[in-house]
Amino acid sequence: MRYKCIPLFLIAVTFFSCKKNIPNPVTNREPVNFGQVFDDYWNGMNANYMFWDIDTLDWNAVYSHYSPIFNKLDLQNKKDVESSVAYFRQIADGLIDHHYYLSFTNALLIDSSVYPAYDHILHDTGYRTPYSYFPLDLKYLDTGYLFGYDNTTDPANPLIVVSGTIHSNILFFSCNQFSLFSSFHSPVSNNAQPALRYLFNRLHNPSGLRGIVIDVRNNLGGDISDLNFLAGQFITTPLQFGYSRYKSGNGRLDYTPWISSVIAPQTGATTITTPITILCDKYSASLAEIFTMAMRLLPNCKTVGETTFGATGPLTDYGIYNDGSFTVPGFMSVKTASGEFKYIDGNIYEGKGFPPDYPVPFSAAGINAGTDVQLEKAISLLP
Amino acid sequence: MISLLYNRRIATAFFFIPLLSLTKLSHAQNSIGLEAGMSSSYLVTNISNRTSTVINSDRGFTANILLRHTIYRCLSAELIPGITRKSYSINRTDSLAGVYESFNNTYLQLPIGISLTYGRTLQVTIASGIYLGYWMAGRIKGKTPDIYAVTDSISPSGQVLGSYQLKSYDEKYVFSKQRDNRLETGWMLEAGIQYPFSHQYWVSAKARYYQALTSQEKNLSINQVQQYNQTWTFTIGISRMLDKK
Repeated sequence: MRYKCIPLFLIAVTFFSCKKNIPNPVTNREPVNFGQVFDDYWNGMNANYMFWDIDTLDWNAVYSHYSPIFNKLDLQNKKDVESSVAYFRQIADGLIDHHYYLSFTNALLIDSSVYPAYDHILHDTGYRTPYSYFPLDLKYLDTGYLFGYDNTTDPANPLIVVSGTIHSNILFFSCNQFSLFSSFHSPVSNNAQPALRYLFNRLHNPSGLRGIVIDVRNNLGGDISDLNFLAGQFITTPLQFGYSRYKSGNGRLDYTPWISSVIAPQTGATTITTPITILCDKYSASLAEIFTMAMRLLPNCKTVGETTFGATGPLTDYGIYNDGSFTVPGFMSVKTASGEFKYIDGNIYEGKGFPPDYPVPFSAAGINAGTDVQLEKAISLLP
Repeated sequence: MISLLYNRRIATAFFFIPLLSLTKLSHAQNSIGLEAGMSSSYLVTNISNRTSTVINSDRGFTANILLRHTIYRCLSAELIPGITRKSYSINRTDSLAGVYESFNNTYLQLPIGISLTYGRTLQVTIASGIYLGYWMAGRIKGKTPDIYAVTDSISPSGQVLGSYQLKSYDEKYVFSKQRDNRLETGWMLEAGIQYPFSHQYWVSAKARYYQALTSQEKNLSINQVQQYNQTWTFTIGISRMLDKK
């Protein structure tokens, strides 16, 4: 009996010892047919997209519906390749990520793109094109304002900044994007530097100011380092404005815990008790929104204008968190947020935008009459 | 509170069933023992798409009750209810070395197996079986780059060089009903030695290997990458014969 036990035992061990070979559908292959293009896109999204916890799009249903369609397309057929863009547009239409942007590296589609957030704005009843307020607002500024234009630091994305005063005691600052740190510290002299120096000097010595207006309308964001660089000039103690989290695995809901998002005070900053107004609009996106939301936490700050764009998830290179933007080699690039941002109030404003304290709609009539109604509202709120 | 009650019910089931069995077994050649030791776990999955990332096994502990019913001289059935901590970490490498996430997951486990014993004075035991586990609690600890805490500097050529500060976290794992598969089943192998130092008592040293057959995550999506716990435990224990030979 003793030795009869052994074969039974070995059979049991063999039966249970089958090793698992776990497949990973996320690949870096160059697809050779449309079935693979779709699979690689779908799997890349499945693993890398940040908002599966709040996005209402049924991604499994997308697979069931579109996989057979893509399998019928021919990657060598020009008409099929072109028609694929419309399918990608349909798929992406329901995604909450307002950074989401598809560009195509396939030679036939090089001029095509899919930008669902902008498509939604385009179909809004109140649609308007982005408007640059610089020319209009310069009329409100006292003489001696500083207009800075830096096209040397990043020639593809020139920075425009304006610093000055209104009625001699309201400090005004506006920028078209966030690349302030790089321009300010650029070894190549540029005229954004004196405008920024003036702003920081006045913020560090705010006596005599009755108000501060910061204009981030039509500002699509930029370098995250500018958040500390600019907002950190207004505070003397760290300011927690929210939380961020990232993907921690390939599962759709694999996230790191939420970590606090904090602005660090900058050297020379003093506590500013002067009332602050932030101007924002529906084209205030990404870092411009985060800046607005962070500044809004200061007890002396209010926001005026329109609800912001709703692209609050931060962006960075894929390798930092192994999530966010990815490519389907030889066919497309997918730009999507690398993190999920939750505001200090517990709300996620991705896809919704951050509402202003004082909503003032865009006024084409006002602009035609040479009036910036939003700026005037901001000024009227100051004591 | 509800989850606490739920946990208690599961825990009761885990320990009550073996104790019931014990009363029944006590009329045959049965033994009871206690053992404790260390565990070493690993998460078997596929992260080939995640750059500069490795999974490492981490150490935990295990504490079990040993219940054995001798079927024949060399052949026994054993039931080993207990607690095992299954710990592993996901570590970034290269320029991101220092970024990590470690998981300390505590499982209630109920392995049941068949064991063979050889020898007289110093006995060798081998066993195989299956187990049922319940993911009772977890703790997650790590360091991740904080995207909003960038320290920028400018290179002599004017290029902005940004480096993210790492932010630490260390908190209780919050279970997700949508994602987490808290019930685990798998198979087990065991090898060990035991030394009887009286008619009724013996000490043992055992190594066990547990391989989960159920993924740690529920099937949320098509093409989901599965994740399986793989655990080694090394224990020492003492057992007592319940019946006179």
